[in-house]
Amino acid sequence: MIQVQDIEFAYRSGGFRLRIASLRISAGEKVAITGPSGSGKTTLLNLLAGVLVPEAGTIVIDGVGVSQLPHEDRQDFRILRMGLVFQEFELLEYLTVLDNVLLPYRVSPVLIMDEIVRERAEDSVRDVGLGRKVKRFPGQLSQGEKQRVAVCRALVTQPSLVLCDEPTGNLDTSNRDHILQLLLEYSDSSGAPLVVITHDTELLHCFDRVLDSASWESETES
Amino acid sequence: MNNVLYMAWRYLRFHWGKSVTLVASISLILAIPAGLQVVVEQGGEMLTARAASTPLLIGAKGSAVDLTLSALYFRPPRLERIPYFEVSSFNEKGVNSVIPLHLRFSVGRHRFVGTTVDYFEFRGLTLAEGRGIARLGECVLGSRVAAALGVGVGGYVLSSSGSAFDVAGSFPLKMPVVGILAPHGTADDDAVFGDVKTAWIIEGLAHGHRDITQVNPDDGGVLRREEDNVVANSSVLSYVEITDENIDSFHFHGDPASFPIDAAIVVPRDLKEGILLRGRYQESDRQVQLLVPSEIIDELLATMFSIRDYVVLASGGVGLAALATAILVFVLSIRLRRREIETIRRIGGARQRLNAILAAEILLVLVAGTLFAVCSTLLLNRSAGVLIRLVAG
Repeated sequence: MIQVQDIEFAYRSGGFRLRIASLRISAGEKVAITGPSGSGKTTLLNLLAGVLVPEAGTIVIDGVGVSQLPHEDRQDFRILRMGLVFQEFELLEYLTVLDNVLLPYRVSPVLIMDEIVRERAEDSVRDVGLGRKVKRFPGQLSQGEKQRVAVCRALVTQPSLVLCDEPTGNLDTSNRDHILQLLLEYSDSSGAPLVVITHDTELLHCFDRVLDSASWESETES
Repeated sequence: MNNVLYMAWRYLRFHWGKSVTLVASISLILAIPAGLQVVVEQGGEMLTARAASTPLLIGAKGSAVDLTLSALYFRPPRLERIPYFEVSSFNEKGVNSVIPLHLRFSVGRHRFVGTTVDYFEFRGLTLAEGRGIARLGECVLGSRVAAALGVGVGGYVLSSSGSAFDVAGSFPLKMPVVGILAPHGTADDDAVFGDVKTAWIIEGLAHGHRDITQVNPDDGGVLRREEDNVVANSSVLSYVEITDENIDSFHFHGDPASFPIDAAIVVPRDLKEGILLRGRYQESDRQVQLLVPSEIIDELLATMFSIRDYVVLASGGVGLAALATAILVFVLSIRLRRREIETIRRIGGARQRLNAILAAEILLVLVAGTLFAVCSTLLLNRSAGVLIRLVAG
């Protein structure tokens, strides 16, 4: 469960300030965040992920005050408990499909890669229809295939929270539906809350709740 | 495989072109000065060893370096020649031995060394097959000459004539090969050895032909007959091969004491006699010099070492510039990978792990470059002798 209380955040370079009085997302809840550009959607996602730290207020995830954790602990919490999906896929060009999926285990000492993890990664790649492309590099994949790999990477650690920043923004309708299906299925089966930023109004009916960032208190400072 | 090393390896392997270039650059930075050191040191040792085993050299006055290189390594002689008389006069002075060296001719691209059997004993040369020179016209091949020409005992080699325009009588001599020397790793491996008199025959100072006193005037060949002299024309040909049948017809025209040689190795009985001899030749106003080869080679090496120092210094500068470029490549590469680094950071990758991966990439390149440099230096160390002989001829 996610609880956000009285958070306030401003970038050091200035120009933008976000205030959210209260936000609560329950276990297994699927939440879409929509709203105009520059209204703080991605900032909120980064605050939830612990990439950014609020100046004031608290963010509690599964009983852990993420915003109060030291930097290293926040990193460890993120890689252990969260799965992140980005609009631009952000796959590493020099790693194969399977190595990209296993990336969290390669870049953090808190995750231990064993045979079970490896099998889980291979299974997930097979499940998204890329079983014959495990040794391919991202440059050899289509856009939809890349995002499927990115979803597998986000879910391979079996996270208790999934955060997605416009995961279907660069995909055609067929791939968009496929990716969303994967995320929703995972949320259903694991009980992990799913938070998705999207501009695609056709997808909003798939979510339990839609948050409009326009309703938040955000301001652009001059 | 360790995750850090695995990630570094995958990156380097994917960008193999960049990685190979960096490894090659680092390899060259390290290998050039090290290789130069090896070549100069081994070259120096080879030069010194042969010079040290040659007590004194005698030759025409002029460049001491030319005389030394010519007498020790059979480089084409550039100095004037000295008469054989200089060798025989030494024998009167009671030295241990004086070994003449006639170096004007060659067999193909291999120097023909006209000398005496003393040379083989002096250099400690042993035969791999066959026997030593016993008769005029015979020759013994150095091991590399035999391999290069593909000639064995029982075969023949042909001496080169002095010059294409030498109409005075210097003509190729067909010489039977009677022995092949065992490899010794010196200039002797690349030479063809024969008697000094054989060299004079090639030079046209001695020759053999049919007995013109027995020729019927009606058969041609004889221009005129005088009381104690017979004048023949050019139809009386010299023999181009010395055989059992014609060896007795070979004769010298002139006094062999005045025939030329290029140098001679002088082996004094002891150090004192050597010093006395040198003193005598320094005072002499003859057109002959007596020198100690090791002193000449030491001077030559001193020049080589100072040149090497400059080259090492220069390659050090080039190395630093290349290293700076390599560092720049790494820094730019990290800048170009900012997005990738940001992604790893955003998914929760540990900063220390990320730094370790980047450091491992650099380390792998450095280790591979160093390994290649060490291997190539070791290889050069093993083959420097052959390389030096090839380059130095």
